[in-house]
Amino acid sequence: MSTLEIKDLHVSVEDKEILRGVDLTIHDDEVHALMGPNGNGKSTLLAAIMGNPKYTVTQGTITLDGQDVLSLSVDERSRAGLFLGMQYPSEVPGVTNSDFLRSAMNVRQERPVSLFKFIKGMDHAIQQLEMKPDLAHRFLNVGFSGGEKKRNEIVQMLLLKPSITMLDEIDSGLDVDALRIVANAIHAEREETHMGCVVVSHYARFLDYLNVTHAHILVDGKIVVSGGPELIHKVDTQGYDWIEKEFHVKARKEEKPQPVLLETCGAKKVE
Amino acid sequence: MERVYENRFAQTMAMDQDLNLTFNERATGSIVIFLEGPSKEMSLHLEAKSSSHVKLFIQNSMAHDLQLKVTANIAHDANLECGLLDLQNQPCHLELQGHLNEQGANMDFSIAQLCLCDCQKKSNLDITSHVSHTYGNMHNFAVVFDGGKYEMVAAGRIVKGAHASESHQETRVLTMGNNHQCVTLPILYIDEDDVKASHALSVGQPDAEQLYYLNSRGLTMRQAIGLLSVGYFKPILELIEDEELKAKIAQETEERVGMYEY
Repeated sequence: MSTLEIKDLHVSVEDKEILRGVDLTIHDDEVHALMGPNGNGKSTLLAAIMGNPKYTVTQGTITLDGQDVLSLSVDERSRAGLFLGMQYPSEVPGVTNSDFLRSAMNVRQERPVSLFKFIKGMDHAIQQLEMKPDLAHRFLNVGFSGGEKKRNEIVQMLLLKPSITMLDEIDSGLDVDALRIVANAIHAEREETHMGCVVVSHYARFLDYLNVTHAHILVDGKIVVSGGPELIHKVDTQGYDWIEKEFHVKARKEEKPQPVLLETCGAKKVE
Repeated sequence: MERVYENRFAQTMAMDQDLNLTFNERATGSIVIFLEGPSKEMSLHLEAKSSSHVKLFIQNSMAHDLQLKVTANIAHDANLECGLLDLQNQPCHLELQGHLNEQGANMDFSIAQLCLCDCQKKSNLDITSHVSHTYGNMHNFAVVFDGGKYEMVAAGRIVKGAHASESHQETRVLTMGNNHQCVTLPILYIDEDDVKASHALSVGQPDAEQLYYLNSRGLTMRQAIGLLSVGYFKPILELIEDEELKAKIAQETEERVGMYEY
């Protein structure tokens, strides 16, 4: 049994408070959909749980099976059983997928995984995600399409077998067929390992595929309403306006980065 | 010591003294050399005759400082791929003179070095196209840790009259920690118009996002840095044709950079 428990979580980025008291508990076999307008803290919540150094937890607790997650480094959190499928996975030139994944699997075990077992597991995951067979030999996420990067995140999840999986808009960049493939792979893994899931997505169909058990709407750094799958369909048909009216909250508008003015550049024309 | 190779060949040897290797016409094969022994100065001369195709992997296994001088003469349509892997915590000074003497000559030289505390790795590489239609390429990779000193001067030369020749080089240096010194000087001496020449250079710390990504999959900072370092060393192992030996050296390399520190 695994339980991830978040209590009164406050998180800041560069002294700006993004999360303002989040409470959330995820058990085995549960799939929690995390929805809300862009820029209101969904990705921040997942990144803070994983320990992204850009985010500062100013208040609250996160525990995994009673263990204080906030006192753990990022790698310790991963080895404790947390997995974050990222919205924008990093590209790492020079490091092949197979070297990376074999290393990531080895740090979880007392003895290094045998080459045969590793290749068998990797081949199976690649087939499950219907990816090209050369995936193992390609540099990590380098030259991957958006969809390939997302599928590669799921390949990693299948091999690392976390107890709690967090997926940050893993459906973006996936076409209709790929969406189904990814959802099936997550579903099969849940059947096998009973992992708990937190899924950030705007896409009701993807959440339907995953058989969501709980849904939460996060607005202005707080979960303002929680419910079952019916909440997803209400948002899908009515948007978020009703939440602002009913719960007297105001969604934070996503800040668009301002263009940087480099001042005037001079060029001298020489005749 | 002198050795001459003909037809097809594959050999692994230790080198503890000056060595002259001649690859006769149309000779094709691969050689792995481990630099060993008490000598602190050694020279390696390579003579690649017409249409020979050679892969040469050299690993520094010295337990002391080393000055290595490599000279190579490449003849008509000969192809020499050569590389030095140096993971030793000992100073190493390499001088390379590659001469592309006849049309179709091709030399591809790679060097991958690990620079640890107070250990200087210094290289002067020079590949010259003396005639037309020749091809020179250098790949210089290094990982420099706290207190390491790395100096790389790589010159590609295309002399007057060597038209339609190519000279390319890339230098990639990954720096870790503080107080390291890194001097890299890519040079192209071009004295002909109709040529292709390029150089690429990057020196810098690992990207914070990349490290976070690797950490988020369970790798410690040391292991993540080790994995990034391996990416700088592994390409040179492709010069080894013996798969068993390649796997063994790959594992040694991974151990050396801390990937197995659980």
